[in-house]
Amino acid sequence: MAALGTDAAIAEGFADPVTASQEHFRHLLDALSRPGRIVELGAGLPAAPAPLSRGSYALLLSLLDYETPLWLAEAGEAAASLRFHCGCPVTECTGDAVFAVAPGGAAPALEEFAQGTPDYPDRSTTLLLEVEALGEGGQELVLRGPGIEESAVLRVGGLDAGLVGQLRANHRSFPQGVDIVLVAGSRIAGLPRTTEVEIR
Amino acid sequence: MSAATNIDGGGTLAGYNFAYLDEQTKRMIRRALLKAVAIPGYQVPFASRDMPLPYGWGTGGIQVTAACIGQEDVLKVIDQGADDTTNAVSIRRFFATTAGVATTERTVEASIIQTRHRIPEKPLTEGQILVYQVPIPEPLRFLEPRERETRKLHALADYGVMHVRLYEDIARLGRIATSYSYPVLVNDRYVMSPSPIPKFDNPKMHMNPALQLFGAGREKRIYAIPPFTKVVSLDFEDHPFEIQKWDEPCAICGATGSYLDEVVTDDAGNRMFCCSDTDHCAERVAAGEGPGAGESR
Amino acid sequence: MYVAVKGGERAIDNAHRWLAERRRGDRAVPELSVAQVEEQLGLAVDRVMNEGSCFDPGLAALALKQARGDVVEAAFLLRAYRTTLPRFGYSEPVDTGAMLVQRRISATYKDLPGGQILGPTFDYTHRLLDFCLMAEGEAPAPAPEAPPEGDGTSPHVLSILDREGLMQQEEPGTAGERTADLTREPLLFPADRDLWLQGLSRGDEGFLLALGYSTQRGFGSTHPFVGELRMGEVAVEFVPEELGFAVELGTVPVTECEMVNQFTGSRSEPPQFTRGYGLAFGHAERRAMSMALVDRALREAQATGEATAPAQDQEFVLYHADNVQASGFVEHLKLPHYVDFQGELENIRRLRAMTAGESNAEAAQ
Repeated sequence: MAALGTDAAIAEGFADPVTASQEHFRHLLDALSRPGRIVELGAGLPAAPAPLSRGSYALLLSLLDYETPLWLAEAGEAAASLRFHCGCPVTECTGDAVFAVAPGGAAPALEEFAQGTPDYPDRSTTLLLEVEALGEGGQELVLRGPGIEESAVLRVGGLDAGLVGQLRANHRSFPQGVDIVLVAGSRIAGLPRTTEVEIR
Repeated sequence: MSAATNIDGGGTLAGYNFAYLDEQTKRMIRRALLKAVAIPGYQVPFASRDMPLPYGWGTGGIQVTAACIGQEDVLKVIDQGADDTTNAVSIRRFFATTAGVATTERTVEASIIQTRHRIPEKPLTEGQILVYQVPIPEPLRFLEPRERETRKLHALADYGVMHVRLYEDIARLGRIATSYSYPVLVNDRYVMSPSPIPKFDNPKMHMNPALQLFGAGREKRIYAIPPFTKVVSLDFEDHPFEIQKWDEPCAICGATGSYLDEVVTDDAGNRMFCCSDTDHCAERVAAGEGPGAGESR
Repeated sequence: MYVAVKGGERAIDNAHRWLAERRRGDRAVPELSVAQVEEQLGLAVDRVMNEGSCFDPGLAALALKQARGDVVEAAFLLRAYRTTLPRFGYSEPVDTGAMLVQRRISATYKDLPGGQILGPTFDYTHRLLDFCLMAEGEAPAPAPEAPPEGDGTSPHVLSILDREGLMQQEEPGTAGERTADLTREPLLFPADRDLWLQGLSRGDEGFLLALGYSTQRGFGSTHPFVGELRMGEVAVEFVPEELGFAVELGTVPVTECEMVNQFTGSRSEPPQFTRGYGLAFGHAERRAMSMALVDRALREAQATGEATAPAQDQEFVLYHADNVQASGFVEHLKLPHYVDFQGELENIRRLRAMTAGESNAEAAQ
């Protein structure tokens, strides 16, 4: 797609937005409903603008619009593409973000994102953390909480060790807190605020 | 308006988007659903739309289903446990027309089940989503009519009023007199209305492998119970929660463990009892069960 | 045997065919055209547009015809159609001061610039059934027309009081601030005035009337005067993003009411008059006046932080004004509830058995 008078290149969106958005939403719903489960978004995801993975790009295309301020750790080409396809505002302020994307190895502190309020805990950021691998890699997380029958084990590569401690604090602040989606390529795993995380 | 009554080649209603709702509305509902799953039992406000079916007739459930449903889904709709009640027929037809999806009356075949007032008898499985139609999402509403107040009570997890109300029943009547919409505590945090299902169905919500979504269109609220989530019916140590029981089995299939409808058969007040879950009943009959076959469930 | 409420598709189809037959009525009587409804039942059309939140007299007339004259059902039809329409943006605020006035009266002044214009009103008609209409008599002779005074526009009456500093100042909106829109956002409390005015403007006319009336009878202290009631055409302007300046989309008829209310003042504010505001599509005086009364009552509650009367209670007013929601929920009681009722039966039988058991035990002692 042409760049429409800006310098940044615009990446392509979905060929069939109605079907693609529905499928990716269901995958994300599944991932957040069943923490620890690795969900494959499928083949045929559009090529993502830097620095996003295909998985993150597909989820954002599916869920963003003019009502959802987006925060990106690194704007790259992604900001222009998402603004173009979704009409979403791109914000500099983590606390305003409805959705945010950051690398799993170097994310801002979770508490910097919108936490929701005691009356409206839903008004919090959903953070996509780009990691190197899901189902393999250096960290082995043991998860407990809603969506998990007893406990689940999730292996993650490229997640900052300090972040795991923050995940525990995030869980303790329930019902407030952020909800996290780990993304590796086209694979995703949900870590909602209800999930209790331990390192094995 | 002829476009609105024709069905195009794609199997959906010409002039309307797949599953009726526009994409912006679906995204808004989907975002609310994701937050609902992350905060089990908490009522997420959402910008419910005017739907072509009346408020109070399942507009919340319809919007949730419309936001979730895809071409691969198989939809079942029940009202009072039955697939052939008029409103269930009407809603099933709405989705068959606007989304062209496959529909079924069999619980096991469905990927999405929209329901009013019942949870199917057959245990649900991991791939399934149960969508409840909710008239009054606020469990505290009849104790405190003001939204600003009830929201505060939820924020503080201050559920004393609910316990007092249940206890007043015990003091006055000797037992808790709530037989449907029996309040539950979800994930040890939020008191939630299970919608007007009979309390018989409450235990099915606990640690259910399926995802349970709740839509209240008129009141503009969405909430959820993720799979395998603790759901406890409120009670007292000396008055534990108990469910309805019948003295006789289903007159059609002989089941003793299912919720029964009472059907008045003549002017003399004679009646029979039979399963409210029509699919469950039919399946048992097909398997050779009956009143004479002896067994339960 | 087991058929009580189990209808199924055929029952629904047949019911709808019967409904269509009833709608048409006696075929010996000519079919009513949508244009006839639009032209000759214009006040019903206006009400449907207001409660349906959609300005389209043709579609409102169609809805009325389809709904067999049931105004609430017609508003529902129009609303359900409205939700499917793409939204291009928000218009500029209409300038009712520039209205081409067809009717304009003030109860607070005997005469005023621009004059009092009675216009097409039922006021001062004697409510005697006109049997000539039954006989489908001749079309009435056209009413005489007066040339407009000046440029044909009239200043707002309340601006006279405003110049004297006697009206409470309205807080101007900030540029770029989005007006609340309860058709796109969930209704949350406390609501601000933009939201409740929108809620009232699409609320049920009967409910608004009753609430407004209740404030006159002491349920909420208002001492209102009709500062001005005006009806006429106003221009609707829109700024397309790509142009950056306003273009006129057309004109719509509206009725506007500004009520003046006493306010005795406080330590921080001098004694002054306050305003209650009502605006409605078409010619809808009862609606605009009732809305202005309720607006004033809600403002009073917002200012004092106290809601002592129903009309002052935001949640009571806004949750219950919407007749499409209200009629849906009241009428949903027609749906089968036998599962819950069975629970209640089981419950009451058990309670009675417990009571009987106790009294038997007592008798045995």
